[in-house]
Amino acid sequence: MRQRLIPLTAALALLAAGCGTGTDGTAADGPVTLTVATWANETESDELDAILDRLNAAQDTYHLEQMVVPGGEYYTKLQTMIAGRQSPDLFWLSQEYVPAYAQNGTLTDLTGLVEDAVDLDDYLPGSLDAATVDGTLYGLPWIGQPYVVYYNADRFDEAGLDEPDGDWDWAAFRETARALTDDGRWGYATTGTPPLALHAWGEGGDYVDAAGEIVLDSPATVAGLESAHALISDPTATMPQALAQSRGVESAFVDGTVAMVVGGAADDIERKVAEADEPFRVGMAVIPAGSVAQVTFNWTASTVLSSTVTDTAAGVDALTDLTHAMFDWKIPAPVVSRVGDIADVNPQKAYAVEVVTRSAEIARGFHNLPQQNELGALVWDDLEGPLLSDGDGRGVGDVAELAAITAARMRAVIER
Amino acid sequence: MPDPEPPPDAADRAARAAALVAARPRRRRISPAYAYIAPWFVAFAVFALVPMVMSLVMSLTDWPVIGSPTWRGLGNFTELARDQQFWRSLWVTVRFGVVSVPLGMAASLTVAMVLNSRVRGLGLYRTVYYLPAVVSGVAVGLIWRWVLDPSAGLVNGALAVVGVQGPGWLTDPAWVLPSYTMVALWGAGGGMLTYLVALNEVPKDLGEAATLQGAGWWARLWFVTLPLMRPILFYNLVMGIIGAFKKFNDAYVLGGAGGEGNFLMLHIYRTAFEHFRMGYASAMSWVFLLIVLAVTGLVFRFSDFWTFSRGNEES
Repeated sequence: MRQRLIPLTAALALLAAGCGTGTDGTAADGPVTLTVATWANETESDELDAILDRLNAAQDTYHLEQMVVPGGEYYTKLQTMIAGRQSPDLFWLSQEYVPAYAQNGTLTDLTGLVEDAVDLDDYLPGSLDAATVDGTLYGLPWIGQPYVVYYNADRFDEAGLDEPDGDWDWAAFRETARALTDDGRWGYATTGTPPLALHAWGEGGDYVDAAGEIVLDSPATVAGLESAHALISDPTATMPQALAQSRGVESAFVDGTVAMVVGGAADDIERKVAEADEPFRVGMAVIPAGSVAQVTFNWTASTVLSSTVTDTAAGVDALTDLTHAMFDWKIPAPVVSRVGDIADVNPQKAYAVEVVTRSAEIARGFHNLPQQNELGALVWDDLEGPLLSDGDGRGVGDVAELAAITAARMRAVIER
Repeated sequence: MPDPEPPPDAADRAARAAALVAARPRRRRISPAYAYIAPWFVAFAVFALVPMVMSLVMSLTDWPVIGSPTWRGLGNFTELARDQQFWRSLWVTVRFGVVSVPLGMAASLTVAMVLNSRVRGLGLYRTVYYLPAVVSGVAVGLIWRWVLDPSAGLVNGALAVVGVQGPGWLTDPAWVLPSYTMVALWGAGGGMLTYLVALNEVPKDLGEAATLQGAGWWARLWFVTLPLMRPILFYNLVMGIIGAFKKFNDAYVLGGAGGEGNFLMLHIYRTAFEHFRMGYASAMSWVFLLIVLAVTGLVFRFSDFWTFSRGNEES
């Protein structure tokens, strides 16, 4: 019996050794092997592999390996790996996921660990907030692009309008959109970009405040939502929702059917217009102000360090080096000192550096909660979707009442 | 010299032998059938039975997948009773099933009847109609996402040729379920095989007898062919209902505005992996199972109607 057990035990030991990676994949006296999970597409993953190769060659503390997961499956795979105690060492997280992952103890607290290597003061405020939960830093944002207004400058000339200089509000925007609307053409179109919360922010409101309280039904927020609804459901200014959904907002802008749209500052609009059948001159303006503030949305994503990494020092080194390297990549960096680089990355954006810089200064993200995905889906289904479609053309009734019902449901989710 | 003991008679010998056999410890003979089914049973236990039991336990917890579970008792089930999103998803699923299952069965049967006739290139037609059944749901979803694209899609492109502005198939809530029904009908050839088999099983002499008595094509179909196909129709009805309830792959790829593409399976998946509520999603799965069982049971309750028998014939 014993004789049988010995080879069996040896085989199991070999199997275990083969399956494991040692302490974070540490080979004896060699660099720590760390896996970086990304949702990069084929081109991006090749470019990122080249970046990782350069980083790996430049030091002997860590060795980074990329694990690409297709975008649609990214979070399912990531969560399953974490549940199976196989978490990647570093991974990308979109801003809305950071609180949930932090709350469940899957991320390393980076507070006090990265300040020597990364100038946190250089980050755009909205970007760093998205990686911070209850004052604790859990990630380093690597992308950030503020939302701006793209406009068809030729249509402005045609209508005898001055091009917007950024000193405008939503009321002026709506009037401009009306002036640009004629038979079969509209001044504005949206299917949910920018997020309607942006209108609430302009009125001094919010969906969730900095303290994590639901304030969706506050008077300021309701005022912003009413303003948004009035603009979106005004057929003399805005393309009807069903048509916008059917046509696609960006393609309607590119073919000249719509004169103004909102998009990310780095979006490839200028090239698409230049390649269109009837190209026109594209302009860019800062998002209009509300009655209280001029503010725009900033979408960010961060690289985080798994709490399962035992060699934290090596992990932090890898994270900070990788973040710096990605600032040099084609993606717009979320730091003040690099905002102007957008013209280097894409020369067609050179005309808009001033607008992008100004937009970056007034950009912010959501105050995300651990239940952010559930709350976001709820807000979309119960509030934003109906506001955008005007209740599928049947109207939405009292916006304040709609906001109050949605807020009550959000509170129920949080208090659960 | 004493008299020798008289030889025992045959009955005595048999009784002794039986007693000996009875006294001997029994060695039960294990049927080799167990060995044959063992691999499947082990796979079933590991990949179905154990996860089901675990899912039942999970349904009593609050488990965010990436953290530790906490006990919640029946809290998930009581919450489910007043969860509007769950009932909305169930309603979307039921509406889809009510429309797509009968239409799909009718389409499959029609295709089978056409392909049961003598036409040239029959093998090719049968292959073409059956092809959607072997394409993965995700691939189907990707194909239809392009076909139904409002600005560059095949359908709206064709409509534009005749001067019709096509709708936003998946972006206008009113058109989402019709779009899914269209996708389901496109794959109706999958059910064709069973109908073809059933059509071949219909005795030709019955049809000929009906013809002699003056029955036309429609009367033969209604009074001869369909009654004889009832078991297959019943089978396809049950499988269609279960399939409609389990709709996931193409819905995951296609989506749909206004929550109209949020089928129950998709809602359960999102609850587990996007809302970090694996425990609650497990509770949903169990309630979902009970609903499917109840509906299927209801169909079986009326299975007499679907079973061809002398009794049916007489009635």
